[in-house]
Amino acid sequence: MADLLQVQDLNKIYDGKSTFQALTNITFNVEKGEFIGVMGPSGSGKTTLLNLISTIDRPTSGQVIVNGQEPHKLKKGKLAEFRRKELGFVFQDFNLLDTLILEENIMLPLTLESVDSGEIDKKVQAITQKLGIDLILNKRTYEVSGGQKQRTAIARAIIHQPSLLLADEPTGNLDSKSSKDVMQTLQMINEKDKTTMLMVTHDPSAASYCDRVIFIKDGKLYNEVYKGTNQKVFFQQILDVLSMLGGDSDDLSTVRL
Amino acid sequence: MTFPQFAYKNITRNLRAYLAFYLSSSFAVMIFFMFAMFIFHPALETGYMNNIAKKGMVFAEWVIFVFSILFVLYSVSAFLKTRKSEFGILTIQGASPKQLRLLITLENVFIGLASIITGIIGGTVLAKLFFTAGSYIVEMEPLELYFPLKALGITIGVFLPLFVLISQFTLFIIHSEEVVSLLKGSVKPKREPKPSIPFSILGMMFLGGGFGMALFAGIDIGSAVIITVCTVIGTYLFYSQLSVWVLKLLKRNKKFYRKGTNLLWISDLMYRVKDNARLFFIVSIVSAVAFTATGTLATYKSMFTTEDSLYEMEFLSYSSNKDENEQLTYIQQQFEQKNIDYEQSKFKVIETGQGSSNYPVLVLSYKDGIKILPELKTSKLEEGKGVYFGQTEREGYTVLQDNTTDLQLNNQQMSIKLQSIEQPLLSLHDVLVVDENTFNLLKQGNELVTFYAFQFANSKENLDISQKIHDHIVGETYNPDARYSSKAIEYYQTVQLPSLSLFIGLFIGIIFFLAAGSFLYFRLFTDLYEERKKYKSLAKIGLSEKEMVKNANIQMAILFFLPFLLAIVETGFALQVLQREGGFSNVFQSGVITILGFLGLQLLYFIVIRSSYIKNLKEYVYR
Ligand SMILES: Nc1ncnc2c1ncn2[C@@H]1O[C@H](COP(=O)(O)OP(=O)(O)O)[C@@H](O)[C@H]1O
Ligand SMILES: [Mg+2]
Repeated sequence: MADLLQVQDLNKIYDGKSTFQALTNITFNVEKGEFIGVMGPSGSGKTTLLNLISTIDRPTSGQVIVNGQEPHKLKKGKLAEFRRKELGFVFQDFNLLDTLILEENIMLPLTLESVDSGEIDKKVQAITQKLGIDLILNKRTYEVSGGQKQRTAIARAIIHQPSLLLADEPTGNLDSKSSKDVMQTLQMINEKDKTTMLMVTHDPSAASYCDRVIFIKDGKLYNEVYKGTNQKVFFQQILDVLSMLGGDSDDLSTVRL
Repeated sequence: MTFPQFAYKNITRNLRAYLAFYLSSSFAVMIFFMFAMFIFHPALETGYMNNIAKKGMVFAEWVIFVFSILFVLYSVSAFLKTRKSEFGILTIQGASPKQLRLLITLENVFIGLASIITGIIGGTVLAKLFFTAGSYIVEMEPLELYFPLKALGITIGVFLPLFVLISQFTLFIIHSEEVVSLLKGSVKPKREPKPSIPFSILGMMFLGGGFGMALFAGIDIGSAVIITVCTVIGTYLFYSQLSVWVLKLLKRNKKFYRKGTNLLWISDLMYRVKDNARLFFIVSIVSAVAFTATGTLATYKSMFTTEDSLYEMEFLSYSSNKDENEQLTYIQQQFEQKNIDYEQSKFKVIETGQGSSNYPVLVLSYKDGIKILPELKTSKLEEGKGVYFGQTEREGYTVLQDNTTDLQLNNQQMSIKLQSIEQPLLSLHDVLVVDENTFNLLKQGNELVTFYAFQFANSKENLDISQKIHDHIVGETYNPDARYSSKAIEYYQTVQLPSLSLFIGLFIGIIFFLAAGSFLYFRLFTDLYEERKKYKSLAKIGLSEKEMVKNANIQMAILFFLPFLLAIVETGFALQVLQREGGFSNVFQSGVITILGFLGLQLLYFIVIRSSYIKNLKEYVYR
């Protein structure tokens, strides 16, 4: 199968009062349709990695290739278009606009593309039914639960059928029940739509929904684990790597599945 | 660390939030102080200021006062919003209500004092600048800077209590909220407003009523107040209700609403409709006052036409005047007291009227005419012929046709053949010079009046004695037995007073314009923080820089020009009232010029603010 995402020799050095090497020579590939998790202790560079892939930040050196394109070589205007067409985002803090009702939040990427209004309605309906949020579309962000907010954000992220869905700690602000809902939703989208996904998390139970998990420590690739047939076994494998990694031990105390 | 030290540290640490509050407060103080300085300026207090202008200034002062309060309240609530969570944390950390009260009172008094001081300093500097620049523009001698004891006292006396009151108001808000909601602070979102049909209708009725009355009703104090109140309430409801309707309508039009960034700015406007309504309301009213004041006062400039007399003073006494000698002595005394060398001439002349409108004219004999104007010698007057000295057009209507050859005098069978029409000689009346025989003929049917003329050097320095003489002879309104005119008074009324009132108009206009501008400014930059965050998250999901700029442009343009539009409409109606009832003939012309001027300023202001605002957004969102 073709690789949808290629990350080659990626380095990121933050300049500031003191320079800091956040990522060192990161190389990995993600196949089309794969659901990949990125784990590591707090401060290991997960968000940095995601920001580089999502073109929110620029790498110091190295390459990111998404669907055959090199987004970091694009001009500003083209870059926004690239994000809009090829990428979908899910954030820890949902990133929904308070000023809009949920439905409007979901359709926002389409309105920016000036898609026909009837078309928008169809797509919103299809997606929200799939995600089970079709009955709360007229609500505002503060009237719904965290899980519902995140599913709204997921709906927004996939409504334009991106080739790559990126998620940064999508369950980070959720309770365990909502986390499970959200992860099942992501898994379903991955399986049904064959959307390639890359998710950063430090929640092992969330990570166990992935096909593969790569671990980074101090900005370097540390290990990777593939899911076999059993999610529970996979979960245990993840825990084992994490305990080897050290750090983040607080998160292990809230083990759940 | 003592508590005052803590309060001080708290301010220096939270500089950004405090800075906005401090700056806006100083601005309010500055504007108030500048205006007070102006109102209590000795040159204006003693001058013969026009009544309307004076009343207008007092009105403007009230408006400034009310809006200063609104302004400070507005910035204090914006300030509070950003600090609510801090109060929540303090409360949870166990700060007692008493400590909190002390902290907030100290803070407000500290910021209040600082802004009073800077406001007064800034006001003095700006006033000096404006006095110089303004007097240059309207060509009058600059008002000198004086020590404004009264203005200082009033400014401090108004604002110090205001800041103390505001701190108590702040406390009231804090106490009435739960700690939890304090902690959540400004994150707590607002509900979407629902338009109310009765209030919308009421708003239309108020605006319509106000405008309708402005068009048709007779104007006295009562109806003026009703019109003002109607317009003010109507304006508020217009923004708070009608704008919601319009936005709802835009939302319902899905094709439009879901196109490009429209969804973003429409929903944003909807979301902030309450804040915006208040801002738009204040800016509209303040701008309307600015435009009207400038427009009205600017008309004085073009209302009078200068007339030139050969004499510094003219005194006309009818035969019925019993006090003629006494009045003459009074005039002479004034000259002597001032050590003015003067030359007095005395003529017996005929006062009558000419033409169909019976326009007053003084008839002089050729002998006297030569005394006034020696050049007359060159043109011999034949019997029955005369030379007319006067303006053919006066205040818009024709006094004398340019090509008149036969001048019909009142009560006279014969008409005078006009040899020529010349520039005016005197300022009291037009003059007709006829040959001796004709004069003697006219003398029989008409009353002879005595005309005194005075000539001396140093003409502009005698406004005070001229005013005294005027008061003595003519009195408050009118004396049927005598007339008096002085170049100094004429000059004051036709040149100085219009200049002064234009200057005042400009001053009020600029001050109010600054006030409106600063409202917009502080509004934009208190929201900037949230806007940046919003655009940052939008950028992540693919909002391009171009789209962000476009969206910000639309929002700013609405903020800057919507209130401006309503202000123009309101100004139109106000000027219409003034034109109809105030006896201003060409108020619209100067109104249009004024509004165009302000539009230019506003555009400039918009461009400057826009570029710095967007630069800030770009730097934060798309580094
Ligand atoms: N903008 C930045 N400037 C400087 N250092 C940063 C910046 N962002 C992150 N870092 C540093 O880079 C490291 C990795 O951060 P991050 O990618 O956020 O970690 P993670 O998401 O895995 O917790 C951290 O040590 C962090 O302090
Ligand atoms: Mg992170």
